[in-house]
Amino acid sequence: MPRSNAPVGVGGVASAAPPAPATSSRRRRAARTDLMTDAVMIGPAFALVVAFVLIPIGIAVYLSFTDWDGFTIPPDWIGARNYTRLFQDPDVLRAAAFTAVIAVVGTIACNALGLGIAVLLNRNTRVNTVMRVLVFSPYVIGPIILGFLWSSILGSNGAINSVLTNLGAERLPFLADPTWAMVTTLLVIIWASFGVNVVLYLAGLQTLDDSLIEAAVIDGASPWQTFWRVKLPVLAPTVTLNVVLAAIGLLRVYEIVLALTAGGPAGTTQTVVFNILTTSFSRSQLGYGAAQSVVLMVVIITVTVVLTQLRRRSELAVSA
Amino acid sequence: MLAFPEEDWVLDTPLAEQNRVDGKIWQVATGAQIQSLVFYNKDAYAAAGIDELPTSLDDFTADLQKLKDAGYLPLQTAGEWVTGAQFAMLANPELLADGDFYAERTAGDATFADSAYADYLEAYSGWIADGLVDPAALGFKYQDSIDGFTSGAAASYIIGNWIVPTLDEAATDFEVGVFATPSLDGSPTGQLSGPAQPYSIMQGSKHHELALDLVEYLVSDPEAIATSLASEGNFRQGVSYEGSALNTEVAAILDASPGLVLGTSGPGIPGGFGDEVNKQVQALYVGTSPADAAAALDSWWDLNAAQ
Repeated sequence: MPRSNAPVGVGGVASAAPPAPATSSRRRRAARTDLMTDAVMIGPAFALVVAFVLIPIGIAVYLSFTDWDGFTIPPDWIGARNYTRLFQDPDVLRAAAFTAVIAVVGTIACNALGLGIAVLLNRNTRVNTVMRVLVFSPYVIGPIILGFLWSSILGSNGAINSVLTNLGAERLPFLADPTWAMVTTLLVIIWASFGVNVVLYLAGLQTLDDSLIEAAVIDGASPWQTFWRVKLPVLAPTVTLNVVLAAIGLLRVYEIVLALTAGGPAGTTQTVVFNILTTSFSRSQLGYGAAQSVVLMVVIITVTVVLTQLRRRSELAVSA
Repeated sequence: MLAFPEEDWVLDTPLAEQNRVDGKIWQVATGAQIQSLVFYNKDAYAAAGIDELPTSLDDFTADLQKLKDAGYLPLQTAGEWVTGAQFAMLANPELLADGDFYAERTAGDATFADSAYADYLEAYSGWIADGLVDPAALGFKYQDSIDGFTSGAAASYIIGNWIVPTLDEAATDFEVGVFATPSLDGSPTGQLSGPAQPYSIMQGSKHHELALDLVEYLVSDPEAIATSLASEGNFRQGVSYEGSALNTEVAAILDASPGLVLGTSGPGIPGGFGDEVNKQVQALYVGTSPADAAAALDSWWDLNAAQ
């Protein structure tokens, strides 16, 4: 009798009794099977990450402490000399400053334009469908082609200057003057990049719960209030994704610069990646180029972590 | 690769001495690309009253002014790599006229600030200030510079011999001539050149002797050389082949030249020096003084030669 009155889980037979040996063995086997399944599923991807990400990063880090010229084997170990040098190298500092401007201004512009145009194109009409394709097309065409295209439009002999000179006006030094060239390069990069932001914001807007909008409208919210107080907070995860992707992409910008200005005039539009490639292959200083790559990688990781953390508060507010 | 023997047929090939690495010759060239050339619009020069082609830098500058006064763009330049390349074509024969400047610079026995580069940078800066080159030149692509010259708008164009077929086929409505880039005092100088149609023998080759025999034939037999050079429009002192009138003029310039000199790349020159020359010449267009540009070249050399 007393045993039957005992609460289950305290003195009850079911909870106190040890599992049968056969059940335990089955669980261990199941756990092993799960582990094997996980390994098989993850293994190929992990092997690819190791082969094509971790090992190359390791090699780059190793080379950054050498004076490797691309030919001499093994390269000489020179300690941190490449790292101390790059912080004194005027080319590196100038490229870093220009890249920082591109990353900051470009990230803000790409997201402002991306979100603004996505809101305008959010309704599913035929015109909007065509406009979406047009807005996204620069991203599809590719940076090299875009660079050459814009150089043929903005060059001293380009389409715009040809029209100006035919009208008797002075040419505009879009690519010939350092300040003009930097602004031109920045604008072309933004133009070529923001299409993907439009698509991502459109995807976010399309998943918005209509009832939220309807509730806001019934409560008397203006369109601006609806956007600012309802849509934008709900889009927080999309904003985070866009900001991080834009920043990373802009920190690595290279191809457009190569095709548009070739880093000129007088090296003023060289970006960090442009400088890394010039250092590595034109100057045959692959060790020094690797040091610049490692620093850029650290900057990108830092920027990604910082932006993600800064955006987390907004995302948590949405999920709450 | 296999080092070539120190025999006459090897030593006689273009730029053999200049391209030694670790004291050995690893590559022999059939001919050379000749690059210290000024192609010019004969009608423009006649219209400007230039009866005698300039041989000194001062005369050249004076003639550029006459061409400007006659309504032409005196000298066609461009951005990209063209700015620095043209400068090297102009200045390197003088820079390297008295020996191996690059080795002296690396040893600390010479500087760009005290070299012929300083004189040519000074002159170039004056051309920009006086409107003898297009102030918006850095916005031009290489192709734009070719079009600018073939259209007849520009009177002079410094470029290598590879442009000859293009000019021959361009059907310009003016006659094109060519002369050697001017030296500081008007005396003949060498030609900036690159090895053309070169050969090397791989160490792993199973037939070193046969390969050596073949290369010797290709770079020393007069008929083989002429055939090879004609196929690509390259040149070698003392070798002639049937070509266009412009081709013949270039060959004559080479034959009158005291020799060949390196450009901005090669043994003993830090990689990327050409890019730096390009950057500093372009910097002249945006307000950098010739002295600062020369000093920047010295700083760059000090930073990179030790690497």
